[in-house]
Amino acid sequence: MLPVSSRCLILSLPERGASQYETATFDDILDCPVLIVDDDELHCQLISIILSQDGFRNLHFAFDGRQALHKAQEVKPELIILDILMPNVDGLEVCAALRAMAQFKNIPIIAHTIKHAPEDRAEIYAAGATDIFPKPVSEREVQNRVYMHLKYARLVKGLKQYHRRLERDLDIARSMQNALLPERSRLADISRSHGVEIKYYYETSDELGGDFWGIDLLDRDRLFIYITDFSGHGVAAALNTFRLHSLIANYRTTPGGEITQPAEYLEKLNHDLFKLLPVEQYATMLCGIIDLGQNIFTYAAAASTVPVKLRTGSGEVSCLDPSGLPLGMIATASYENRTIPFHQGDLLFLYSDVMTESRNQKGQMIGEDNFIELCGRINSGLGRNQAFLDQLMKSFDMLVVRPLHDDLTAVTLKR
Amino acid sequence: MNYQIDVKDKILEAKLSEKITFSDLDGFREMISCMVENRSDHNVMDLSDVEFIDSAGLGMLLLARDEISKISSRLTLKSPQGQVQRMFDVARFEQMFDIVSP
Repeated sequence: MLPVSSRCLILSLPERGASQYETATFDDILDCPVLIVDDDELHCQLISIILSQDGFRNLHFAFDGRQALHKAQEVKPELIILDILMPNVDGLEVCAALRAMAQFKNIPIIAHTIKHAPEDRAEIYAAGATDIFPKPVSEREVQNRVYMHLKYARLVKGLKQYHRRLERDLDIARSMQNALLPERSRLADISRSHGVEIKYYYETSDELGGDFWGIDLLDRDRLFIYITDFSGHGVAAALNTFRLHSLIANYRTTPGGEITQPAEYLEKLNHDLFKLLPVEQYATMLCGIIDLGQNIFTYAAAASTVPVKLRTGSGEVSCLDPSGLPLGMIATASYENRTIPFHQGDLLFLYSDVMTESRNQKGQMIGEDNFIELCGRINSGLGRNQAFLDQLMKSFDMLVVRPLHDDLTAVTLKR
Repeated sequence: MNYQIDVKDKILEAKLSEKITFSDLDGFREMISCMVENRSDHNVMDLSDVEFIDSAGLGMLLLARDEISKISSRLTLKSPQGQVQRMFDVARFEQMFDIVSP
């Protein structure tokens, strides 16, 4: 039975027409399929007239709950105006049933009802309705709210699409960054040919980061290794990793580009990066040559993290000197070659700054000193078949709160 | 990051506190604009209350240096402490900045 009040409604149609919306970029909203559900046909007509006057031209009707569900499947409405008091399947059931279907999970459903006392409203919202039009109807309210809900739905849909696209792009960028890293099979080859066991751990952050590392075989006795991190993180840092990677790749094929001394190498990179980078962007780097014949590691640093040398079966920790001008800050910078002994049983550990800058469960930053102490403790407590990096990563995982704010790279080279 | 600016006798002093990190880039840029607009002869960033700076923060200092040099004004970094001082040492900032530790 229809409430008397709505039967008595006198229509005063608005003067405003579709033209009012044409300045907005949403004129296709008037083409959105709208489903109007009411067991009173007159009422359906009433809403239909109001919306048509406003320019809506894709209106559909259902006259009970069961028909509403059927019709929804058929016309795939982008908005539903739903009466609540209906025979058989009532509006609340229709609403709940629609919300259970993926395609109608997020569309605006507006309950159109005489029942709008606070407890009724709570029940209607609990069933999944987006909004409520109290009966009797006010034409201006119907027009404005329908238009507003369709517009919001569209904006949200657009945002979601944009978000999905961005996520997909970031995923692609992440896998491209991953491809900059040395292949595992190549590392296994190096281990066989040079007797240096190389392990690494790499984790990209939710945002993109600026880490990567690489290795080159110079000759039978010598390996060249580098690890780098661009300032900041996000897309800019990630793009810079590709710039640097292609510079490095170019050196390999350019005559005179061969690696002689780490310091010269950094000088060259600094010079070239300076020309490419905006003023506030730079890279930190450590590069060096492991000479297995002479049992030494000669390196040069551009403000890297503190490289650590560990000895198998000992708690002894040697910290290497990471100081040097970051790459790309000034046009001409000079770097120092530093040499340390590197014997059988020694392990060199290089890592990105997220390892010392991450926070523990108490919210405190791990810090350089604590981290280096942790390295020593783990190394001295290693079991026979345990690898330093695996154990360190286990401790690190227990220590820190994720997600990490930047890429994580950790590399060990062990003789 | 927080900052407070005082101008006295053509010297602009910005007192920074807490951390200078990736998430402070907007605030830092705003501070640089303020320095540039003010056109003081000398700009001082007091870092004594800054407890942490990351790589993006160092980048912001470089940006400040660049912007301030464009208006032919001076920039001094004052009293870096702890981790900030260590970052400056590692990155050899003394070669690029006027750093004073009274």
